[in-house]
Amino acid sequence: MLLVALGIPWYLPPDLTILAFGFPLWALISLVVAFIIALFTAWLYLVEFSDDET
Amino acid sequence: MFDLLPFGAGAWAVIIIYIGSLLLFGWYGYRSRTENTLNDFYLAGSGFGTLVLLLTLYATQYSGNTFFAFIGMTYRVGFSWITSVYFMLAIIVFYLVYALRLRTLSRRQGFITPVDYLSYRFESSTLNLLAAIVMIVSLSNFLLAQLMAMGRAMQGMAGGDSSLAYTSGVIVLALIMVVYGTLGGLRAVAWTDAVQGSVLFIGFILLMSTLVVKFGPLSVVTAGILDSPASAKVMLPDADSMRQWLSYILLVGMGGALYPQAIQRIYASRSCKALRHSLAGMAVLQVFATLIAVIAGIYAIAHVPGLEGVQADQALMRIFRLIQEDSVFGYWLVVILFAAIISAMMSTADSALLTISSMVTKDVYGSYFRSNASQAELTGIGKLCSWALIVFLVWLAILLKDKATLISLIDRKFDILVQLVPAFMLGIRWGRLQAGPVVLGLFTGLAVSLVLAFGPFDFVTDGKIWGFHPGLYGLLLNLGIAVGGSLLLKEPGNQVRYENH
Repeated sequence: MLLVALGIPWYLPPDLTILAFGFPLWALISLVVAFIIALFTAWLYLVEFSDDET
Repeated sequence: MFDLLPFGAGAWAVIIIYIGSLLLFGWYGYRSRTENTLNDFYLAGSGFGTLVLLLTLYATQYSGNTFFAFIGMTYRVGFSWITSVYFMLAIIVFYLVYALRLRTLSRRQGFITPVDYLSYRFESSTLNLLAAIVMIVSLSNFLLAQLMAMGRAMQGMAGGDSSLAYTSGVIVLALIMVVYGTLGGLRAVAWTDAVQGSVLFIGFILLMSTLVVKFGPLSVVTAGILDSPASAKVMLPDADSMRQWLSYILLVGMGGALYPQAIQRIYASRSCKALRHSLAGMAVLQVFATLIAVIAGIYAIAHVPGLEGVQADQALMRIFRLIQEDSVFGYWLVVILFAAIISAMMSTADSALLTISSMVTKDVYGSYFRSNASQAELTGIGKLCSWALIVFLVWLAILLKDKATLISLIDRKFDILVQLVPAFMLGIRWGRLQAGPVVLGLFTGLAVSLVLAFGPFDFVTDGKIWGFHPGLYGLLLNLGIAVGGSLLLKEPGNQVRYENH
């Protein structure tokens, strides 16, 4: 939930127009956080949740 | 108006062969069956390994229809549709809550349909019937959206805003789909999912590369949009849009994780290890797949301006036209992608059709009309049911041709489906949850969601209240009743069933 709160760019100034790698900065931050969530989720499936098999 | 370049005889031949080859999957699936049972037909004998499971789950969540809908939505709202990356990912996150436990339980108890789990866990015929209706209605909505997308794809391919192309496209493609689906069952559907998913993923990476070569990098495109009248599509979304963002994450994340056809794929996995590895792969794959659709939508904003309303769902067609005109490679790339998209829509639609037929057959016919029916009889009834349903939905798809955008159809489906969260996600984790409060909560949640969604209320803006979908308000009440009611009742009669997990 913390990562989702970070991924939704509510905390950035509304007039932000900086571009980075073709994305507006707010969108790039959001995408990076999404990728971190994806990796974390994959790790949970591969490592942490193997106990649910039984 | 939305035309691709006219396809030559060679291109038509490729598309016909590609789509026609789906019938071979049906035939091969039919030949590969080991017994004439519901498990073999609807769950492919529960034998899917990691790769097939990954690709069929991917294709279930991310159909050809999604490309049209997501690119169309990006075209409408711009970069803020990055929310789609989040809500598609949220589906995989919500599977963490229940998928692995459900798979273990399904293997022990021999579940075929999602309702089988509810029947085992809660032992309530009212809940079974209500849940079956919810899933059948929401899946029919999903299937309808796929059929309409097929029609629009054919419309684009034929050139011009042709009603005849839409109608004949829906009818012919639905016919092929129902033939191979009723022949090969889930085996045929999953194999086609796997092929279409792979072709689409590779094809769209090539499409992205072609767009970059033709129009320059994304930085140039975005800078161009910033200097145009569409500059708002680059700016930070306003507070209401961000609430919608959160709403989509919750609604689609929970609702998508409860797709009945996805639940059946959980049952169909060969092992928990295969399921875990597939879902881990999905988590990463979804980010890239969804992002590709968003970037394609951004290129469409810059280079195919002027599409309004329902027309925005045709943005992908316009992009295809630009690529076709660019080179011979671009032309053939579009031909292959187009065939794969249509096939993926058919494959996704067939998944839904198969699941609906399994529920009507086992949860309705087998439970209420012929409880002593043989497996062969039930399988036969399931196939008949597929044919009857597809005829009805094809008629509806033709009738509703210009009535709804793809995304609005998707929204309503999740408003309904998300009401099953307490029964599945909470029920598998919390032993005190009891049938009575779950039924009451489900009924209340559905009523609130539908009244808010379709009632004449001033405070409902663009189908949402304060940025949140009606389904989430319904779910809040639903959860409150299910949890509160279960806490108030003293003796949970299904505690033993829970402990057996």
